[in-house]
Amino acid sequence: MQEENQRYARHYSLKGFGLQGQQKLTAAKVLVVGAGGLGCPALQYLTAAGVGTITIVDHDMVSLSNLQRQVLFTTEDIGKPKAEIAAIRLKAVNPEIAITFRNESISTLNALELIAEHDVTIDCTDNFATRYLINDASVLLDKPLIFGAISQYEGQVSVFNLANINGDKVNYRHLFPTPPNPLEVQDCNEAGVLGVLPGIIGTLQATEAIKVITGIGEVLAGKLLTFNLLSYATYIFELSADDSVFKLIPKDNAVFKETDYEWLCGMKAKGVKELTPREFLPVLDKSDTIIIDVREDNELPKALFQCVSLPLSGLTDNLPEIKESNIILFCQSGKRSLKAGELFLDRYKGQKNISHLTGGILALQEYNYG
Amino acid sequence: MEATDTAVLKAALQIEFPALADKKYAVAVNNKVISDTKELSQNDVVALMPPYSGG
Repeated sequence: MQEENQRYARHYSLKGFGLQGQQKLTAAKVLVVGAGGLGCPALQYLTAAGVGTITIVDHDMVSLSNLQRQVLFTTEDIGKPKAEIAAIRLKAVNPEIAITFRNESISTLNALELIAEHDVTIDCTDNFATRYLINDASVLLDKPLIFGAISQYEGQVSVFNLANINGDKVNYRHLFPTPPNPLEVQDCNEAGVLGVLPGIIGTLQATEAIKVITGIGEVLAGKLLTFNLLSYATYIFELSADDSVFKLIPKDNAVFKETDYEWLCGMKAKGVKELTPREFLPVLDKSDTIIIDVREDNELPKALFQCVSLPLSGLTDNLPEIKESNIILFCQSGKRSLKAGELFLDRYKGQKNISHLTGGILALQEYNYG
Repeated sequence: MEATDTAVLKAALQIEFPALADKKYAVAVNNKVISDTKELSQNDVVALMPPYSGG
């Protein structure tokens, strides 16, 4: 029998939870993918609650624009790896649990192994490619997945791959069978988000994880909760299990490992080269090169370098003749420039070098100002 | 708004809100997410939900 630990005294005295609930948390292994807006609060509460083993996976570095909502980080952490800094902060909160971190992206190469090693995965990522990747891997491994996503003032939470009262298991593809094309949705960087929103949604994800682990309450298995911060309107929708979506998921681990989720989600196009902000700056002064801003007129921030404005809305019907051999496109977040890249590629197949700035001018700004 | 089924409703909404035409969203009728077109009756509540990727 485990001795009582004063740290968890309020859990022991909690009716329906008690020593047993705490023991289940201690024995649990939780994988948190993404240590950003959702990941920070989810991690804080899971750590404080005493989940025995926590693994944090995030490839990103802390940047100034994260601090408005990513509450584990300080101004001094800018430029440092999120997963590692989060692990340091969390160990100070609760040194009695095992916290490990990986400063790398989750990918088709490591996802199966990572998810298989844990009892519950929490999806705190910020892009569709990773969300579909984690979803499909969790389905293949039949592991519960706590989903959370946000935009502006509204969030969504669900628990996938866990049998609901009818014994059915649903996953993200029962809600959105195929990934949206980047132009069909607003991107978080572009759409903005009220800083407290991920605090609420990430905390709900931690709550669902604790419920799944300890067996208390009603888990959002097969249900989607939506929460609106402006009105507090909260809805719980039932998702129906429909076997036809399973054909959209890789049939086995080998096929999964060969799947290119970024391509499936329209985040890259074959033939349009990707330039990171670091690679973008040196090409600005290259000869025989045209830099094209495909944003609509008056979008901010203004480009502080020489470029030509050709809004995407005008390109679809009327693609102008370009005399330079190198075409470099950019927009706000990298979605429209990719679309424009595909249009130019169609026209100049193989005759010109076409590239675009990934993450757009927002990523460039972040890179310049840290 | 009058509509006999969810397809008619979507078409009507797209006329009123043209921006909806090129956006992706899931549809729920009376708190149940549907995958095909569903017939609607008086006072049914229909919700449109966009996919969110933010984290």
